[in-house]
Amino acid sequence: MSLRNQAAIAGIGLTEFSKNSGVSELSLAAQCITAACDDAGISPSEIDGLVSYTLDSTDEIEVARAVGAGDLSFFSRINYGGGAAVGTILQAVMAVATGQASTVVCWRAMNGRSGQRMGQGVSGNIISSDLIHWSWYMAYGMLTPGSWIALIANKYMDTYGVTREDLGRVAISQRNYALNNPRAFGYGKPLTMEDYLGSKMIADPLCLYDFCQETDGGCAILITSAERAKDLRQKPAVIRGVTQASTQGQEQMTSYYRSELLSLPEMEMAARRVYDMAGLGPDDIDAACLYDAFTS
Amino acid sequence: MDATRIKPPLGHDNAWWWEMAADGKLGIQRCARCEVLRHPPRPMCGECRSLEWDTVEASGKGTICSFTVLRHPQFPGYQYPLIIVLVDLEEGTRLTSQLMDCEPEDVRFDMPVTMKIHEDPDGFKLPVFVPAEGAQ
Repeated sequence: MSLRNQAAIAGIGLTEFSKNSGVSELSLAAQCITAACDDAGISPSEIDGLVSYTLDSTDEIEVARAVGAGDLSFFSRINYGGGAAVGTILQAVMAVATGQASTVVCWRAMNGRSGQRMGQGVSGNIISSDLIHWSWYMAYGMLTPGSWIALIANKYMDTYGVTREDLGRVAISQRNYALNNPRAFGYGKPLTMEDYLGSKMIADPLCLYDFCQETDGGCAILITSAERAKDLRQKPAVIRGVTQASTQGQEQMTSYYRSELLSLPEMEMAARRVYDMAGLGPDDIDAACLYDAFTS
Repeated sequence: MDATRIKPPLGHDNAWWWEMAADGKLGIQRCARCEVLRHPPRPMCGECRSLEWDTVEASGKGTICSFTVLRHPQFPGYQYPLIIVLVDLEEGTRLTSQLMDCEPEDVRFDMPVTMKIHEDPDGFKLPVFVPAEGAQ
């Protein structure tokens, strides 16, 4: 069966974004999930499905108790950090389209600055394939996402003649989007090329402003059937296409071992699948929200 | 004792590589059936699905495929600036490592490098690379 137009986003909920939330990640999760329900005009007691990232520290059943959710008939988790975002939506759409759940909330809540930050390493005697994967890098001091990305960024810049000014323009564009957004850390704080070029190098060729913010906060999306969403509080966003993608030889953050180092075939695969599903092409798109924690 | 680098967890699939390093060698895993080399090590050959494998000792000669210089944040147990290299070994596999005996501004793409075994003050050994003779 096609998932096209089966389900819709009926509500979105956000917490405040800050450098120190002062509350637990469970509290952030509960706040953003109830905000998504309020946005949709649905009681949290109607939630029967929950989806998050494997990275999220909060268990579904803790969240369910905190917000007074109903009985859960569906819950699942997606791996691979920020790349999980769309994967959670695919889970929810499949659950709704197949009748496993009617009201599914995807959430992610983290104290990304005040709590455990990225790159604090692994330790202890636990052995798993995931920890062995990271250990090839951590033993050598590659402990942060920036250190993993920089190897590919440096090669890409050298091969294609990309300059620091080119990356600076990406950083400045991103900051310009934040300038008018009161929720954003960059609200009212313009970034100049001089600021960019003058900032300290972190992992050559990436400097401070090539990195995203570390942020405390939570976000939740409520997904239900396209039919039901018509009668809820907000005009629904019907989901025409959604997919996941992983291609041969991919590693988490460190796809260094394929012959082609400088492309991400996962992106091409995801785009092809989602355009096919939606019956749309790049020319039909006039707004995009792209996830990347780096300019490169 | 000063802080030391993060040690790898040693399991069925990777302990042998670190044991070879402790023995002064850079190892590469080889499928015992189809003889394809692979790194990082895996328990099964993705080409022929054989679970049988052995190892070859790399010559230690390679070239720099890519590199970065880590400056911040600085973690205990590592020396900064820290040059990280992605090395194409002459045997055909690729690995990440550290470049020593070289200034950050002297690193170049395609620079020939040679493996040496580095020993930390706590006795931990790991393969690192240095510029090949005449490379700079």
